[in-house]
Amino acid sequence: MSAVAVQIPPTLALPSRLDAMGGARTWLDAHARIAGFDPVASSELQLALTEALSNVIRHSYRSADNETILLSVLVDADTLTLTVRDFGDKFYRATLRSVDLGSPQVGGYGVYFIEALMDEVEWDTSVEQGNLLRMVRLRASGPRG
Amino acid sequence: MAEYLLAADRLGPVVVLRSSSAGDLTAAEAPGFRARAEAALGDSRLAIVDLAPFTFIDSSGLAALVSLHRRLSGLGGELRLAAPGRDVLAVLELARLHRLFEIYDTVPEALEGFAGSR
Repeated sequence: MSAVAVQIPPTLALPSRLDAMGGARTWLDAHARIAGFDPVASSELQLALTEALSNVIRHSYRSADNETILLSVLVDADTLTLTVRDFGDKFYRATLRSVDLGSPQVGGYGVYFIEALMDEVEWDTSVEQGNLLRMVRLRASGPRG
Repeated sequence: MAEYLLAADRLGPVVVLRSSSAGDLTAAEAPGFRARAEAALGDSRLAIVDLAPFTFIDSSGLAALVSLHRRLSGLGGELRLAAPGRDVLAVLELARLHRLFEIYDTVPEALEGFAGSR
């Protein structure tokens, strides 16, 4: 029996629906595993992606379910870089209050999770429309939390 | 959207909530989970959420749990969590919510702690 090589596309166009996030996680998990990240790291990457998507859908797109989110992943010797591109309302990180981990709250942990789980995070609002979120995870970084 | 399936077992004054829509508790599922949980709780003050069915949870899932906790605490009761998988526990700890909730390895262990409750 001959082996079949399966290529996972490095880009994914996602509809702006919350129920589409599971498919995005599966796509990212495949890339992370192929790149050699262990299951814990892959789970952390998936959580960062989920939080990013949730924010885009609910805030940048104001829960409109007919928009598109573009994902890309790039793996090199040292890093996995994940980008999330939307064409909705601008997101200004500086306007968010930091979460107080000493005071449990209902919601508000999304951006904190992204920044805690990834080694580099940048929201680029200079793109003509919407936002470009770039998240980098170093291969060498260990589990979070 | 498919209806969220949540089983609620009443063991004396304690309601044990267990998802039948296994897998994720994210922004997609959290509203349905929360609505079904609140309906199942009714006037109950003591509850356990069996986390075993969940393999993935995000901040919206956590928000649903914290919301239920606040509801029961406001009634003088308590929400406990049981049987979290590795990844779910890691997210709870990342948000430092393991300091808010009593988390048990199993539902029977969580029930034990409620035995003396009124």
